[in-house]
Amino acid sequence: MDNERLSLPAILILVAPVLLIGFFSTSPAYEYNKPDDSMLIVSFKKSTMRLTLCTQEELKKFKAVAKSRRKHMQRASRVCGSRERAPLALTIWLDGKKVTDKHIFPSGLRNDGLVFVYDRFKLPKGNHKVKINISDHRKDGSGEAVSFSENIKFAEREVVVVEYDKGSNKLFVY
Amino acid sequence: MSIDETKDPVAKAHRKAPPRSKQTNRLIPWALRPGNTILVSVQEMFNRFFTPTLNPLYYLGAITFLLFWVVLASGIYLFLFYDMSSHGAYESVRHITQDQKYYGGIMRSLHRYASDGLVIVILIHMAQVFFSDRFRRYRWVAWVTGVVIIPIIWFEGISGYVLVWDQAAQVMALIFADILDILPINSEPIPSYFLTNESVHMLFFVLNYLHVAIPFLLLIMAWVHCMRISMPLINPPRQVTVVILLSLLGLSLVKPAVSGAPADLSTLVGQAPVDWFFVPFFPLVSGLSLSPEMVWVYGGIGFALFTCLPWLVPEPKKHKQTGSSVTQCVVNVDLESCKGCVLCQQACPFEAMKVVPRTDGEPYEQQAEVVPTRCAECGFCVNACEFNAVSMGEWSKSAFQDHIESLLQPESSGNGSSAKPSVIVFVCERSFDQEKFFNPKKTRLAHNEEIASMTIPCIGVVSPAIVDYSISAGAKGIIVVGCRGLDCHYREARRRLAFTDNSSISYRFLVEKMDEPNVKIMLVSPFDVDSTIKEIDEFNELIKSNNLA
Ligand code: HEM
Ligand code: SF4
Ligand code: SF4
Repeated sequence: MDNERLSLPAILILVAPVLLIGFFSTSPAYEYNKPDDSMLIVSFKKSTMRLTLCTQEELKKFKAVAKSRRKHMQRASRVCGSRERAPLALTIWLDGKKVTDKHIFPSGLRNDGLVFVYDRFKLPKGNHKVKINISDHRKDGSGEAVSFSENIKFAEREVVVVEYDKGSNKLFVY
Repeated sequence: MSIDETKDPVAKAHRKAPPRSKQTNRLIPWALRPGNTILVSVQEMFNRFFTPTLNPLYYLGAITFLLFWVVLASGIYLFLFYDMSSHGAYESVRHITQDQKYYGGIMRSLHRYASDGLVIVILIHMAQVFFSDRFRRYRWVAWVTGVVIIPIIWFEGISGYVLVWDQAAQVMALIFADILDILPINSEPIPSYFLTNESVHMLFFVLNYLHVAIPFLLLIMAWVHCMRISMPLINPPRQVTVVILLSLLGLSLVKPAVSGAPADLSTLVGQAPVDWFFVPFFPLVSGLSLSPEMVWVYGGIGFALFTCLPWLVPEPKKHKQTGSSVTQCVVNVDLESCKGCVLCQQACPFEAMKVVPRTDGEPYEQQAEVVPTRCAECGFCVNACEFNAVSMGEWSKSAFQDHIESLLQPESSGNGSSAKPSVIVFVCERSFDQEKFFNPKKTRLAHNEEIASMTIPCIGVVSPAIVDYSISAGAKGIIVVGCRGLDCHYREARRRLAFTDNSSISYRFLVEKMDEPNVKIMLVSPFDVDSTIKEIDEFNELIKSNNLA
């Protein structure tokens, strides 16, 4: 076998796939975004309020026994209400048109974790009015609401990220 | 592995390309037959250009290994200089490519191009084992591990591209993140890890580590892949290796792999190169005509379907036997005769014959034991055993010998003449349909009465001892007809090549007999009808004239 030679056509057959690799490993290129495109990404995490809170009476009762308990037990949620947190109502308007209106549930098996929001929108470059409302959706309507409304100039292929700041409880452009 | 061409029947039996004629192999399930016919035609075409000993289509598993070694070696080199952080990655790759003069750039290019080559060769390897019906029953482990390897290699490709952290990496990372995000593995949306240039660390890191760790997993998978294949062929012929390596090197010099502009998550990527071997559908996902959910749906269906294929393809109807060949039966070891000599184990191509400690108190240390689920019913062990301890249904060594004797009786030639056959043709049931040649009503042989024939499961059952037996029983010449090139269904030809330098193996191969003037080994394709008949006739004439002389 070792003294057998490869013929020229045989060598060409072996080289052919390598030529294919040379071409198709990069080409034809694909235009993922046009020059006019830009993008808005709304991405943040937020802790919403608990769905049910302790009544005044329950709280009083809890405080009375709290002193005799160890530290980690001194949380109201252990005594009254469930750990479940409220879903987040998210509404987004772009140039006055409602593009998203949904409820996002908190993470965790018992819906007791953070709410994660990630949404993105491709827009033509230029000025756009972006309005975002978020609110903790508790049944009695008592959740906190945050509103964001701004005229944003999107440059060519620019990605604008809107985030939420826990400290100031505000949505802002990153 | 060095093989003298003059001693190698594969090389010797294939000097000329045969004329064509249609023939379907009835042992192949009907669903695979059209594909099988195309496959065999392409192999034949390649045989003409390469000769069967160098035909790369018979070494696809080995070529896959070769490319894998190239990817691994170049990858280890790149890793030495690579900066795993998202801030340093781009610059370190640029440094390897540009500051290291040619060397680093070549390593990087080889790494990319050999990976692409791996995709091509794996797909052809897969198509070949499928259409040659070598993926079912006793081969299911190789098939299923192969199917599992595919998504792993795909992941390696994507994570590898992300490592470069240029514009192409940026789009790939985002699309891949969208696809991963469908899985309920993480409460935080996965694309949000690629939100800003500052937030990118974590997933980037994970991808990096996996990209480096997974090749070692692949090595283990490749080992499992070949676990039930004795002596797998993992090195392609030297000439083929050299041409593949040189052409990859040439491509690396002519078109070195380079990075695009650095990734910048604050802008959208415009035009970017696409590696069509790894991510042909990413543009579709990006253009929203294929949702990430559907990637999982199609991928999941495809994966499940491919995994189950060995059990979905219907068994072929049992071959209407024309000789005394009996396949599809269970192999049995008669412990009373077994001496634990390991010959049968050495003969077995699928690791189905085990030698275990003695259980019956006989004064031998070991005994043979067959693992039925791994057994291909090829019959090699039956003939390898020098103590007649193995049988396969009605097929036993003594039954084989009895049949040889009966073939040499005058009446067995079948056309009523009383001439005694002088030549015995052993025909592998997978090489061609013996009915076409030897049935007295259909035969095109010049002197059918002088030629006795018998279908056998594979030429691997014709041991040197069987040749000697046939001669002593009165045969003047022996022809053994097997499959083309290295294309033996039971891998006999492959193992024989692998064994050539292995003097520790005491199992005897037919190759020992090939230089004897009264023995002819013909390795044919199902298309070889006319030339096969002609060669048999010629050999018969030769034997006759030798005898007269
Ligand atoms: C890293 C990827 C792979 C490598 C390195 C590899 C390598 C090999 C090798 C060396 C053999 C033994 C060939 C022989 O000596 O007969 C083999 C056989 C086989 N491979 Fe692969 N293979 C790979 C991927 C695949 C894939 C993706 C499939 C199909 C889904 C597959 C299916 C098979 C089957 C069914 C056999 C048994 C064929 C026989 O017994 O003749 N392999 N492979
Ligand atoms: S070749 Fe025969 S005697 Fe030797 S181990 Fe196998 S079955 Fe036993
Ligand atoms: S018939 Fe014998 S040699 Fe062939 S696979 Fe089965 S055990 Fe192995």
